[in-house]
Amino acid sequence: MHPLYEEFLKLLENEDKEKCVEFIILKLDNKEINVPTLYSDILEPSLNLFYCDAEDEKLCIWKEHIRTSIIGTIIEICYPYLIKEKKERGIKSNQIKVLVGCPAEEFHDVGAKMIADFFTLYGFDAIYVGANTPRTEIRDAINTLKPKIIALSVTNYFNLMEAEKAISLIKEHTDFDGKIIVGGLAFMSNPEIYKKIGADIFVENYKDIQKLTGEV
Amino acid sequence: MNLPLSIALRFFRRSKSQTILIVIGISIGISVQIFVGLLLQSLQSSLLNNFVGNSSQITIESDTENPYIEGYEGIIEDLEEFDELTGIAAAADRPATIQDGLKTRNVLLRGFNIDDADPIYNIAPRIYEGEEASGDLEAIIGKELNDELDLDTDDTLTIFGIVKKGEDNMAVNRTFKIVGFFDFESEGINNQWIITTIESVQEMFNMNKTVTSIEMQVEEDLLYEADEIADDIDKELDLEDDGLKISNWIDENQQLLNGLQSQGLSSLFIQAFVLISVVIGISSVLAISVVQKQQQLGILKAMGITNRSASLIFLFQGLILGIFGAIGGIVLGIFFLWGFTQASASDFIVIQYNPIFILASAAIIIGSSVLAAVSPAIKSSKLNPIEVIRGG
Amino acid sequence: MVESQIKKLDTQEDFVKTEKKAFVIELKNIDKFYYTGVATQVLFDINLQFRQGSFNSIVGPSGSGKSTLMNLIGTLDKPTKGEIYIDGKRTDKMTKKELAELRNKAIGFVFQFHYLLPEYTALENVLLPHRISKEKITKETKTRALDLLTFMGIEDVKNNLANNMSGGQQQRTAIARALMNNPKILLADEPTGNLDTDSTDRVYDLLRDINEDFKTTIIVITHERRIAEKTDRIIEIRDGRIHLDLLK
Ligand SMILES: Nc1ncnc2c1ncn2[C@@H]1O[C@H](COP(=O)(O)OP(=O)(O)O)[C@@H](O)[C@H]1O
Ligand SMILES: [Mg+2]
Repeated sequence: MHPLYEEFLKLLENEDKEKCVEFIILKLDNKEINVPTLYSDILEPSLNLFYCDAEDEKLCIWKEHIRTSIIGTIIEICYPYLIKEKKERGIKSNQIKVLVGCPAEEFHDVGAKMIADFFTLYGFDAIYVGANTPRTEIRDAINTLKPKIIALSVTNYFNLMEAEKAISLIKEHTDFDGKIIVGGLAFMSNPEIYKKIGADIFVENYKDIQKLTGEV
Repeated sequence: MNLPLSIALRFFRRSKSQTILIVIGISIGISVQIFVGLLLQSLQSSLLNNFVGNSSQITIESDTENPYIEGYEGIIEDLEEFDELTGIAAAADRPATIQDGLKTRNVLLRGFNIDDADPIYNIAPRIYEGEEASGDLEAIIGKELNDELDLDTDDTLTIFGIVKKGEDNMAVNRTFKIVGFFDFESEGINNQWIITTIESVQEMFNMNKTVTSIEMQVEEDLLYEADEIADDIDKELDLEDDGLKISNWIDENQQLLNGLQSQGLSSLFIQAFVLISVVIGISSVLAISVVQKQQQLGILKAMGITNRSASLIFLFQGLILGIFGAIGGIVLGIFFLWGFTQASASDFIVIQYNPIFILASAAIIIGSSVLAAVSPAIKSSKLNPIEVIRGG
Repeated sequence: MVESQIKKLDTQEDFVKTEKKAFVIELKNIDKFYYTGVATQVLFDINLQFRQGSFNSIVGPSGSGKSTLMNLIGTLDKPTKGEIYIDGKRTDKMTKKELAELRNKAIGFVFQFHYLLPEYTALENVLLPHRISKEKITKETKTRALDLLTFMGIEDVKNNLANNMSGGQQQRTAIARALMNNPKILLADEPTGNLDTDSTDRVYDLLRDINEDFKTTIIVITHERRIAEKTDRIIEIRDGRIHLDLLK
């Protein structure tokens, strides 16, 4: 577990946006943490924790929403650090377009945003289409943008059905021939289901994206 | 309470006015059956009573010119061997006349041995004033005759008769003391009969120790076998050899009997048809009810009610309709009969509220109602809950 | 963190490997045909298991065979082929009497149309399953029925006939009735299909509570996302086949 995780979690549990943001900026500025580690070791676990809590303990949804929005803000703030880091690492653009989004009715988009950032970091041309994207919109975006990779994030397991529909629409009504990547909390209990819904690759955490760079 | 019974009652209670209408309908049907049944039974027994109750059922008379039977006491002794006979009485009957002012009235002077005649004619209870004629020259007369004569007990009445003496007819008369008045509930008898002792008639008409007939009554449940009993007597006693003949009420009243029989048959038909239509009514009402209640039946089956219980609901409904229909029908039927007797002036028919007939009718009605429920019950048992649940 | 959560939840494989006894319902190779002039196959080789105490939903387009599947589980209908086990006992070969007893003791039904007996009051409706079991109505059974009505929040209308209750109250009565004999399994076929949003939420909160408090295995057919996403497992039926079988 990352040494900063506990500390950040405490601030987050107090729903103190200002302190949370200050804390992260400080750590990024001091190079105590880099963006990918922040995402995978701190933001992702705390997000998942709250999401599960909200379901199991009937924790108020509004609390979950406040926390999610704090994390969302942090992710937005991370973008300049991300670009800097990319440059420092000497990563060149690979010209591969990645379309990142969430299926219809899926409003938990923080994960998708982080995925997009990861792709960016590794040199992909990541296009984030947003939360709750109807499958026809996804289809139209694909037909226009011609991405090589599609990444769908699903948090609520009910939306796996919508993801399946979106994927089959993509396969039937676009000439997309790249890889479809899926990820998100919804797959935790259904690790094998990605095949059933027509995806090619299931990424369990953000580090897996790094491995993809070689594969695509 | 038993669940199917409770459901049956609830189904009825839920559609109260419908149920009441059905029960009224059934009651009216059954009341017709009770009414027709009781009325015709009473009519028949009144008729029979008039023809058979007030007369001899088996009679031995002379078969020759000479109307007098000699040695009748021996014959009676022989007849006493027959267990089927409940009463044996010798009678000395002669036509006679009486004077009523200037009018002459024909009467039948009947001489009985009172003790013997009572079991047949049941005279004693029919005397509404005075007593039986037991001594010489005592007589009792009928109600209607006395309406004309206006006599009191202990008044006297002179009776005129004719005695055959060789070739000549000879007039005789005796003055009788009137000791009582009877009412046989038959105008004919009340007008014509004058009852006295055998001895008085024998003496007046110079008959010596002879009688004109021997009359018999058979046991009640053998009434319709009177002809066979008469035949047996005929064979046993060789009556023909003595110049006697035996007759019985059945042969005498063949026409009446035929009439009664076809009347009874048609009454049975009417009752059967009424019953059939009541059964059809109940059956179709319950068949509709199964359809109306199929949603309830479906959910009950989904909850695990057995097919047996599901069919019992409707058998109980049949039973309940039968019981209430029977009660209502009997009450109504008796009420109609009462109204009928009030309305009809004639007191010829005495309505007998035969409890066996009423109870048997009730049993048949209730039994038929349950039978009428069998087909709806089977439907209910076979009803598949899935059809109902899918149907929405 | 994430790893431990994965462990906590079952994978599909774990699910199958678990001891048989843990499955309160098991369907093996179920085919269902309807014969209406021509034979139409409605269910195709369905294999499913349900764990004791789980809360499951079945979703899918109308006409896909959801109700058919549920009616097979509920023993209201028989499969054309295949085997169905409830509590380890094979039901598709049972006699009608055995099935009636099983339905009375082990299964509670809730349908879209509330199907209360309009001849009886709410309380009497709730008592019916007990009366069908031919057991005496004791003080305890009455108390249980009343407790169930209280649990459902409708004790105020306990003496009302169905006609004098709102749709939501009727449906809650129907649920209380389904629970009366404390069945292992509660089957609900679009139980909120006729209810407004508020009543729908109410009914689902109750189903959740029932699942938690009584450990009743619940299978609910629903079109409502809000409901399905709250259950532990979503089974999507399409064209008579299990299209997706998702665990939370
Ligand atoms: N008794 C029946 N006879 C013929 N076809 C039926 C019968 N019941 C259902 N079906 C058909 O089976 C299919 C599945 O029905 P059902 O299980 O009710 O679907 P769902 O509940 O998913 O809407 C439908 O096409 C329906 O028309
Ligand atoms: Mg259905």
